[in-house]
Amino acid sequence: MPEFERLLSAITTRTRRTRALSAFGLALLIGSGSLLCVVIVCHLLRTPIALRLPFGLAMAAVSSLSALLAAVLAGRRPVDLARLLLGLDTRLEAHARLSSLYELHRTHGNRVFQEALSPLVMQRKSEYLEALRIRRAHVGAIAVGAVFIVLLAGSPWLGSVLWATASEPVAMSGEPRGAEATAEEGVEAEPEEEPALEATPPSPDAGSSAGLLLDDVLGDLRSSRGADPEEPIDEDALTASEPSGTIQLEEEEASSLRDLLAAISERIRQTRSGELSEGERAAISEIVSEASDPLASDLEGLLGESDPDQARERIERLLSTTESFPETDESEAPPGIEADAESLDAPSEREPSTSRDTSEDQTTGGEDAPDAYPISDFDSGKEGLPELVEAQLPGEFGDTGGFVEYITKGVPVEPQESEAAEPASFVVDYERMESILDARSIPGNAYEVVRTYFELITEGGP
Amino acid sequence: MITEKDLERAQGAFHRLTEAIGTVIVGHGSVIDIALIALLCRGNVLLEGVPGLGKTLLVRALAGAIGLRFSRIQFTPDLMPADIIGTDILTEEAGHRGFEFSAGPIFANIVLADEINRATPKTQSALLEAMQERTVTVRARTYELEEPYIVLATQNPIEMEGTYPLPEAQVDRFLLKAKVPFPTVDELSEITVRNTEEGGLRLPEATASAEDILVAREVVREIPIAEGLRGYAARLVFATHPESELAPPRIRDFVEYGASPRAAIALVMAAKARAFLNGEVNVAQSDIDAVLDAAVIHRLILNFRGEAEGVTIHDLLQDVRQKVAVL
Repeated sequence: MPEFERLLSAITTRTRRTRALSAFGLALLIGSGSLLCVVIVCHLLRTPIALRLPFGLAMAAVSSLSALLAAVLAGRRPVDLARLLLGLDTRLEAHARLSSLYELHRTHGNRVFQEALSPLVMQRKSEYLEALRIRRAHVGAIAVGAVFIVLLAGSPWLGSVLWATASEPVAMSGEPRGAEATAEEGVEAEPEEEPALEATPPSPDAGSSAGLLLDDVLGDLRSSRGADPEEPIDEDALTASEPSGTIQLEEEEASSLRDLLAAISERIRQTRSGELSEGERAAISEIVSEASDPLASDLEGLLGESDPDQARERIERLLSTTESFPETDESEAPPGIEADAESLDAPSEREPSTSRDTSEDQTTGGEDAPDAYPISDFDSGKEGLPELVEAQLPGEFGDTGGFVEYITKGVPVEPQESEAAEPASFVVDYERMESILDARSIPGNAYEVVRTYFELITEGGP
Repeated sequence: MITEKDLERAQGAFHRLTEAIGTVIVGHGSVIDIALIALLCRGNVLLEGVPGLGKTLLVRALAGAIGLRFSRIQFTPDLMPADIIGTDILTEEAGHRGFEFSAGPIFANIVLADEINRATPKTQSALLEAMQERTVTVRARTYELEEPYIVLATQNPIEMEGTYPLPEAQVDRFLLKAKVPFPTVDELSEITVRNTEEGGLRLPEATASAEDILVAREVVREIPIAEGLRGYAARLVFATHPESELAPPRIRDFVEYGASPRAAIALVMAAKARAFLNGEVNVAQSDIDAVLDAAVIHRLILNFRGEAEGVTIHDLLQDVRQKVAVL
């Protein structure tokens, strides 16, 4: 019965194909799903290898190949036709005709019955073949498995995006070193105790908690000066030698003072009276209350002066002083740390200046201070860049010799002497810090905030 | 090997046979099928039912429709084996005396052994030899019984006193067992019509011959059955054994002994015969399921607990059907 044999062949072929596809779908789903779970765990554990493209491709390839292998093995498995055909008969309620005909065919049974059964079987040939379709569940398994394969292949990219998103908010909190930060660390986390400020970057964990706390400190600092705490932090101002806001305010004040003094001088010249008017006296008194010595002393002297010539001399002296205010130590002191420390040591010995250092001052700073080194690599004075001072540190690092460290100007740090073999360390002199704040008319309630700031960036070091 | 003509002949004969019996017997469709199946399978049937249900009429109608010799043996406690199988009698002919074998009622084609459980075991065994071997041995001489041959034995479920229950080994030789049910109201009404009016009850004319039965038997043997269904029949029988892993819980609890391999043979043969009677040319699962009770019910032996709790073997076989899958 060639027709029946063709039917058997078609059934066998379709069965193998269906088995292969079903095995492929199940193996793909299970394999890719399992590997995807492994990859997710790797990402949760921040395993670096999970971010590498070959890792994701390898996982996808392994899963696909194993599914293909399962399909090949399933397709090549022998087909138990007797059982298969009886199953088809049972499913289709075909009165076991197909399986009985196969039994006659296999045992070369009576042709009478074969001829009687054959037309009955062939009538339902298409039904038998249709019953051997791959199930929808297995098609779904293939589809889901394919999705998992795509996710596996793209897992490094996805992971890098997620990692970056997770670390981005903390990184933007002001951690200067760009170390990793985790959002899980509480805002109130105590800064980790670290040894003295070293020339090595702080640990990422300390930096992350410090970064969060630093936000609070900076916010407090701005709010204490009357600024909006939610205003984005001007990081340039923080790293500049002088806070730009403070510079602007002092410039305004200096300008106002100069205008006032000029007006008073002109009035004295015209009226030949050294005594200040009520308005002049009130304006000067207000400035005296906010200013610190020696400006306050000079202004008080002016308040008590009655001789017009003496008054005008005082005014001339004050004008010459306010023109250079807020000249900082950069113009006088060398970029070297020792020079900075010396200038900060005696703030009363110099004229506070409200003017900002220019690049010329910066570059000429080296000429005024024999120990200073010209800055060559940094275009300091440009907006947005911190003013850095190249300094020669005592001691050496390792076998390679000298080490040049750059520190942010204005930070009241000074090196500690150490043995050549020991790494250099820095200390923050908080008393000098307070004197600097005082010289720059920083409100007293901000002292603690600034102290906390330096404690954070030095990670609790001296 | 049968031909297509044989197949047509056999199918036609039994179609007519079924119709002829139906003209006499009201209802009892399943019992008639059991009897015909046993006839086709060269087996014997154990009928169980109260008196007056038409068991004798059924057998007589069957014999009449086939045109075969019919005999009825009423078993009593004093019945002797010679009363069944026959004996040598002294005869005189032309002055010569000799012994001549006088065949007993067992020498027929269709034998109705009524209330077989009333006879002694010795007498029962004489009948059972004929059933199994299709021979009768008298005084060292063996006489063959004429085919087709079938014994339909009855057991009266009411009368318990003075009975000798058939040993399990002897019961196992019956191919099938059928319970003759009480007719329904409509059937009973029809019975009264046929027996009290229209000239009374008449036995059917012969519509088939012994030759037709023999051909039909060959056809039934060659009816194909799928290998998986053979395995299904075997698993069904296997599941009746309490120690089997296929046995349902109640089989384990209430059955002492399961069915013998004869049950598997009977199941397959009876399924083939049923398929033939239904006009099919192959065995289906439904055929096996339909004859399971008849082929196995008399072969299971309940334990004391099963008998005490009144568990029926029919219910136990239902559990077996549910437990055993075709694949």
